[in-house]
Amino acid sequence: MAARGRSRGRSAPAAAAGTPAPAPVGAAPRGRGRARGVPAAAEAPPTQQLAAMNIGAQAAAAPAAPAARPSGGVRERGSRYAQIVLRPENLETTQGSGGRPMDMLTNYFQLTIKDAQPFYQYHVTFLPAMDNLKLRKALMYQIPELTNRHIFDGNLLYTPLKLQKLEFDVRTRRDEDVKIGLVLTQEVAQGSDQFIQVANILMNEIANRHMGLERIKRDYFNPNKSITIPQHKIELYPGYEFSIRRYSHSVLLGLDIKHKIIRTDTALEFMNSIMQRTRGNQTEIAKELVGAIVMTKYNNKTYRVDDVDFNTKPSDEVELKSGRISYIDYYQKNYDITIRDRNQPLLIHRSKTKIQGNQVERQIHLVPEVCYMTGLTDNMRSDYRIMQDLAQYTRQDPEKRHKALLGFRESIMESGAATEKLNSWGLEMSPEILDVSGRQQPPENIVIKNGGTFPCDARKESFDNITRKNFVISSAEINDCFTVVCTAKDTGAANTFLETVAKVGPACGINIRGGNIVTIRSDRAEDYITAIRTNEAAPKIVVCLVPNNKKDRYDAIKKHCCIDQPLPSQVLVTKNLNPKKAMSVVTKVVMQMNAKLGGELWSVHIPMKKVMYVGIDTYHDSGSQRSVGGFVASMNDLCTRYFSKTTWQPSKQELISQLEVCMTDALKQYHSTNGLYPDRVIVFRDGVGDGQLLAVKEQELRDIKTALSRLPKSPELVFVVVTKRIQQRFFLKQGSRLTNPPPGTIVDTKVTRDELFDFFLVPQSVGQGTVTPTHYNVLEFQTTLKPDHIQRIAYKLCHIYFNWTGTIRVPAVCQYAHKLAFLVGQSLHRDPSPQLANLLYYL
Amino acid sequence: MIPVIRQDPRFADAEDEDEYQSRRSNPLIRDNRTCRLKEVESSDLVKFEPPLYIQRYARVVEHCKTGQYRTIADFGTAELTFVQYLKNLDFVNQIFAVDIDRNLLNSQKHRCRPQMFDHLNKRSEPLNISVLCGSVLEFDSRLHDLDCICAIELIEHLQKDDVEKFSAALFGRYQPKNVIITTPNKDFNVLFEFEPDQMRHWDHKFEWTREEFRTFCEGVTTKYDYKFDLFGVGDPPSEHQTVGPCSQGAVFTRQASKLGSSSLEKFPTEVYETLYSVDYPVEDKSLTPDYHLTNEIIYQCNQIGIAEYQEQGDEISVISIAHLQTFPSIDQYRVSDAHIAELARATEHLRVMEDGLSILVQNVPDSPSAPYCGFSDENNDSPSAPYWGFSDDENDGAGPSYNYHVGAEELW
Repeated sequence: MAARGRSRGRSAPAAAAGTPAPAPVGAAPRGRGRARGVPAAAEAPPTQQLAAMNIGAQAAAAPAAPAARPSGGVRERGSRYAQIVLRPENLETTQGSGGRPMDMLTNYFQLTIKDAQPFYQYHVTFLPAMDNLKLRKALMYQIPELTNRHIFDGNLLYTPLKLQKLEFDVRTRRDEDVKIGLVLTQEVAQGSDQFIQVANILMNEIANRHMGLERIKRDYFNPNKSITIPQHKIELYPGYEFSIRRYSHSVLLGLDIKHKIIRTDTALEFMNSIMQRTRGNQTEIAKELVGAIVMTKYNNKTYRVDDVDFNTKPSDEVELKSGRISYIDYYQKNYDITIRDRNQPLLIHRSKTKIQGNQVERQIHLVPEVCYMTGLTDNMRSDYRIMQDLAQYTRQDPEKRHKALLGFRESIMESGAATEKLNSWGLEMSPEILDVSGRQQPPENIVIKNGGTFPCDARKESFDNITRKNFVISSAEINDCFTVVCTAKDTGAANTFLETVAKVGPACGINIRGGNIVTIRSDRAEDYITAIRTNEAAPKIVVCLVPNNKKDRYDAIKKHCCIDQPLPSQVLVTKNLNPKKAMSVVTKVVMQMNAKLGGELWSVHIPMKKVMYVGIDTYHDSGSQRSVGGFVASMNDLCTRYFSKTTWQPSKQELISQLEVCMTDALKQYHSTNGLYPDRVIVFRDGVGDGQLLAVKEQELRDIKTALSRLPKSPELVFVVVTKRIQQRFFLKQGSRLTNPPPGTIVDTKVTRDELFDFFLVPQSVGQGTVTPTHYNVLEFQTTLKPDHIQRIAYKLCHIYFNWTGTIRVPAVCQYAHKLAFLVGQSLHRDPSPQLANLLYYL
Repeated sequence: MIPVIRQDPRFADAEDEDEYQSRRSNPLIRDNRTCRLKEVESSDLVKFEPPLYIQRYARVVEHCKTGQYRTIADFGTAELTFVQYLKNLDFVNQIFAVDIDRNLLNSQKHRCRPQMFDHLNKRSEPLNISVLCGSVLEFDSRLHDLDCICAIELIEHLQKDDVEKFSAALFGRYQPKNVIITTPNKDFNVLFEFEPDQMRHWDHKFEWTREEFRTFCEGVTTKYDYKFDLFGVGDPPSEHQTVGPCSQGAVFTRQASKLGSSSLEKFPTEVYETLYSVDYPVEDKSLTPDYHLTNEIIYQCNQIGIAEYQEQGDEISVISIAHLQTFPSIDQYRVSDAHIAELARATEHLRVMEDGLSILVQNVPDSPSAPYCGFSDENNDSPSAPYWGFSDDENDGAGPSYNYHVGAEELW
């Protein structure tokens, strides 16, 4: 399985270079395929299975042999165009009906074949056999009947032509006579997996060859239209991300606007300027470079920097197959590039390759002088000047975006060769982007103190105004049981903090006042920890005022307070307490402290009771070989109390392995809190790639089901995968203008997929640019609920994340799970104390 | 996954299981007759590192560098490999890549397209690369009087009768200022332990000994107004010095500064078919050093500023110009501190202290909408920019009517 997936994974770059991506070799023995000319979406199950077997062979076969699958980790790139059926069975409908209908456009072009003309797939044989792939491909060009209208991977030939003649005589440059024999293996009908594959290859060729776009990973950029921002050493390449897929409406070309950020400084220049700035601090250099993506001058390839090797220089020798050679000589001889700086440290890139089935780690040394930096560093990201200057180009509102989308189509139409290519395959792109209808859900009611409610104005970005009244549902009895730890220098700030707390706390309805201050000698992490440990006041929560956000100090404090001495903690950078900001900052901090101690801030009106909402997310630990899974479950009907647990799995593995334990513990906790088990469990799973859906369904869902089946009465189960990074955008038609759809907008037609139960939700209102909807993919729906319910629940849960008085992009349980995994992965590197499991200490 | 043991050694080189299986099961492939396209240039006795073809290209490039040739044609360009070397020479303005195999060129022509880094690291001199399809025996006026024509490992692919015509076309009609020709040295073949009459490549019509090549060169120079220098690529192992280099070559230099009369070049004739032509990005020369220096100053000040903001929370950083001058990227401009102060003053973001010795850079925007707490990433979730005025549909004055009839209403 894995080998097949990989082999096709490799074919993706080949397609960019203009050579057809090899279809699964031997996956379609001749003579068998003709029956398969029916789109896989057709109802007849045998057809569906056959179609699935073709390109998605590994996916279809996997359930039978789950052990053969490397659990998660390896993304199944091969199944990119395969459409695995993941939709829960026996569903009447996956569409909702509630809400106010709205007319919108979406970033898709419809793709049709003129007169529904199919493509033809031929199996090709050479006599004598040609082992050389290049040669086989070259020979195909000698068949005049094909008129260059073909895609050939060395074995299978796709063409829109139905050939009368199937035997051809050609001649190699070596003057050998070769017979080429074609056997028609199948008609590729519009919408079938092969059709999608061929259409994608064609579109890639058009983008690369005829539109002059450069491929970087899967996206295409136009270097001729680059925008230079010289003071930041940045160049911005406008471009597109596109893919052709089959959706419930028809075959669609999805198109999104992208900008590639390329830096004009080499890694060496970048290192030199850090060197000057930090006066030669190697850790600083490593910190800024590790994780960065560099692009090499000589072969246009990109590499992730995994380490900086300060002990190796370009003048050092490296062992190659052919002998020892210095890096300098290597570049000189192989690329005619002269390395000037002989003493620069080298960058290390590690990659894993499979050699005869064994995972082997390969290490590549790169010379910084010949590497360009790409993307933004964290430092750059926190620089408002850079972000401001970039946003000017990258943030495009619906109007601008729409124009850019049409521009893509226009440039295809303008390029004669591109149009000709499309025409010669009978492909047609719709002139306008696709219209789609959506439904706006009513605004939600925010629940506050004593069951009071007030409607949340969906058009505003937040409902910040609740903080002006005495609103919290319940207050943790903090009173004066809290300690502020700060350096002597910051005692002034600490006093400001206490004064402001006394003002804003009661105003929100939080019982907090007084508190004591402990001063420490220096701002070293140990001093903070000693102060916390030896503090005799026995506070409920400790507030650490820190001079800056140094990660190691933060990590040390959190480690201490989450593991060694379980105690909710709040870290606050002193500079935020300046008079201008103090009020609003302290209000938020007090609310956060309240939440960390189990106080309830606000909720949203959900009529349905006895439901446990579960959020799951993963975080890939920077420092170790493991990744963290965060598991958070709601414990009451108001969704204000949560139980949490973390799990560990081998690095880069998205799948969570101990879900059964997590779920069992959560159910026990739910029972001990409420005296009963939940009637329904609704799981929102974040952080899953498209290729892992099947694995999630097989493993995680199974584990959860096992846990549920142990209960006296198994609760109803809904399992939803949440995806934030998606291509789909929606533009609301408002007269002649296009704007962002309002929060609460649901789309569950046309751009959804037949084989899934999925929908899109616009959760937020954005000030600039175009809003990104969130994708919800329901993998399990064993419930009496209707699609409408799950759509509304998803939106409701976006309102109740305690760190933001507004809606967030994902259901709050997902965001809590993310926060938890992030804290554990970034700072703790170990399981937090179980004593904290019922508190939102990770906020 | 069960580890696969590839028992059939004939297909052991298969890239993956699929290829292995399909080759093994294909009755047509079973005899494994392969078309060897690669030229023999190494054996158990001799191995070249880097491979000889790279050494050969490097050597020809070396000659182009020495001669600072600005217009170059590569005959028999095939996969355009040599063009990849030529295009990195910053003084070259025009490259013609010529071959007679149209299919081959069509499949390879995009290789000479500017890459990402060509756009980033723009050339100081313009460069056009044109891929032409045609035979050296025809005449195309675009290639007349070039600085250099290269024919690398080409001549041995011609029929012996055509060699004479080739010389006439090259030296008699095209009359470039320089010609570089390379060809195998037959003397060296003893080290490959060939069969009698075997040559290094199936398509070679002949291979010349050093003596034969010298005779050819002398023939050219007596007939046309050129002189030549011989060179070799790929030294033999020390115990076989007598066989000479693996590959031999000659640089021909035109003697006359004025061209001999030829009727052809008077009429512009573009016989060769242009399959592809591309101009490389060129740097904007209108930008002054001060412009670049100003950007460098802003960049470095921002970098220092943002680092101090990260470390110590400084909202304003003071950077001494003397410190800036220690940066190699600024130092290289060799300007006075006062000049830097002047440039900084002219920018939008930087301010200069009154004493003119330091630059002030502001690390936070004037109207702060910064996160309220250092470690919170919540603001990534939610945009903090102002609300931009969304209005409901005009025809919906009575307020939106939501239509919910989802059944199972008791749940809500």
